[in-house]
Amino acid sequence: MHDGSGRIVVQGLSKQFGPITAVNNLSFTVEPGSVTGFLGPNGAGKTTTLRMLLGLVRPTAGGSTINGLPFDQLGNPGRVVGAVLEAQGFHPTRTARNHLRVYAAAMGVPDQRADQVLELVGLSEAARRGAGGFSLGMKQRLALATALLGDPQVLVLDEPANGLDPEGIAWLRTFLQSFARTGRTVLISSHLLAEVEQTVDQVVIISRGQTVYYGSLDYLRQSQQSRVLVQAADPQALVVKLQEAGVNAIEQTPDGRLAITGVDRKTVADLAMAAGIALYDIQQETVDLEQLFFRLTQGQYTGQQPGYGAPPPGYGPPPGGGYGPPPQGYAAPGLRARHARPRATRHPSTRNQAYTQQPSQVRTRI
Amino acid sequence: MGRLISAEFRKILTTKMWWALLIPTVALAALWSIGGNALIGAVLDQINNNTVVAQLRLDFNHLPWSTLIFARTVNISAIFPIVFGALALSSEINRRTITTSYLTAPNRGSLLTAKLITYAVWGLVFGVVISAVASIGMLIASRPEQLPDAVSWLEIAASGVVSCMLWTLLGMGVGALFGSPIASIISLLLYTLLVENLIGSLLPDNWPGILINGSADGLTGSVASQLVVAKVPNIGGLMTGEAQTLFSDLIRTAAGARGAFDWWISGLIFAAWAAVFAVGGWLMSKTRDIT
Repeated sequence: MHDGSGRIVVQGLSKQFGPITAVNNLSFTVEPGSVTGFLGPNGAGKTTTLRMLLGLVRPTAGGSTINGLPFDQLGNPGRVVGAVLEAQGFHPTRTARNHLRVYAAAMGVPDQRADQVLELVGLSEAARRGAGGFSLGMKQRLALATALLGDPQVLVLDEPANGLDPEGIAWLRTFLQSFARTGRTVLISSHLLAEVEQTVDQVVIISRGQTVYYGSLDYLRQSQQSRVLVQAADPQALVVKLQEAGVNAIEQTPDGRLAITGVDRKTVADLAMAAGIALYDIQQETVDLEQLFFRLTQGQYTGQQPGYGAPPPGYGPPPGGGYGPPPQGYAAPGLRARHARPRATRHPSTRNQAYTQQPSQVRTRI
Repeated sequence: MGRLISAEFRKILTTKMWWALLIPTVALAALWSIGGNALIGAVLDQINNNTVVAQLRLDFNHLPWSTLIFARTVNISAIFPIVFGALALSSEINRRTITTSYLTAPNRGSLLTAKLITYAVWGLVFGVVISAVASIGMLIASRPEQLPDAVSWLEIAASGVVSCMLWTLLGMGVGALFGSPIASIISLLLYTLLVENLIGSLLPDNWPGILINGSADGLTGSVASQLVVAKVPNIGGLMTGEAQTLFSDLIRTAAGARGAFDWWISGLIFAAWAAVFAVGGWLMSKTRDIT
């Protein structure tokens, strides 16, 4: 029997699809009682990893356990793990209620449970309609209802926000947090950090099939300090003054400004004032988590090695060519094309916007 | 296992496929059964009116001809249980419901076992329906003296039911092997209706009887043709020796069982074919990545 811990352990997981390495020696642990975000750009190997965890794809190497056991040894897995992997797995003419009753029978839960979960996700009205006529948002809700059917201890969701309206996203956020608060486990994947930023406590960030960050979101946030950008009449003099005051984290930006880390705007202005150095411009710059996420995962698109703290290429827009012709390392488009998702229809320019300066106005966060 | 079987039954009963296939099954079986028996009646009328036959005092009327039509009806109507079986796993893969099916089953093996049992039952249902329709058609359209006796009827009906069940499982195996509804249905129908007839016609002696369709037809066809052949000596005093052998072969061919072995050998060969495809589909499903 499984240990009932609610812990997910992924160890050295690798998957090779022909010549393409989708996942490469991935390891992380997901603890119960928290919502863990599983982040990475499209094609980073998120879906493949989740499907290996759930026994749907056979790993080339490594393994994973839920509650201390591989998926196929859980006994009645529907009562332990609920999964939302895609909003497509429905027979078009089978009604939502019948769809749930099929799997209620498979898990051995009473039929009334089907009506309960429909109520929970707000689909009671559509219970007797075929899932083929559902909107994407309704399909996502039905997929979630299916995942919750067995009242599982662990919930695994692959891009669940796709197709949900802002109201649905807000509902999902509240739901997942309260679900985790009862000591259960939530693992939620997304290709946008901003999308899950308000929901998750822990993050696993992967890029090109490898882990690039694994830990708490707060720690990630703290690791990035804000900078003050100043344009001074005499930069050299200001640097000397700052160093005298014990501020050493000073860089020159390409446009001739100084970037000072670890102090606030007021300190810099006071120092300049005392030294009699004129300031033409001064601004506080806060690093958006989205930019941080982008920097951690950019290797995937630019062909560079992904890495921690790779020197930031300035704080301007992301390096050009981010969405140019995908480099060879980009995980096979052919492979991904099979589960064409609605997100693929988003225009890249919308996403570039998100990566640059105004993420909050571009998409609703969950 | 009981839980998964009940889930499989719900899967079938909550969509239209089962009756969408059962209706044409009934229609086709009725058409073949009634049409075939009526045709035999008409042909026999012609023969009986022939002066040569009358002078030789040959009596073709008192043979259970309807059993040949019965075997033919089962063999042709079996295409629907084949399609039904072929869709068992492949449509789940196609509709992507297989993801949830695997996620709610203890392991792949148990889901596949549940499907195998469920579709064996549905194959029997198709077999019973086809045999019932073929029997009713026989009662309507056949001359009373050409009907089989009760025991013979039970024999051919049982062979028909078993044949349909094995066809369903074979179809399921092929569907699981290919993983695509269209590929599996087209290749199954193309093979059973066309390709094997071409191969079979080129093979000598008993060789057609070991092929897939040949053994399946042999299961039902041999039962029927043996019932008729057993009565061949009754045709008349002239039906002896070589003539008898020749005529018996003719009857077997008419029953769709040319070159077939005895019904039980044919049945075993066909069961082996079904097992080969079921095992192949099973192994394929165990390792197939659901991406």
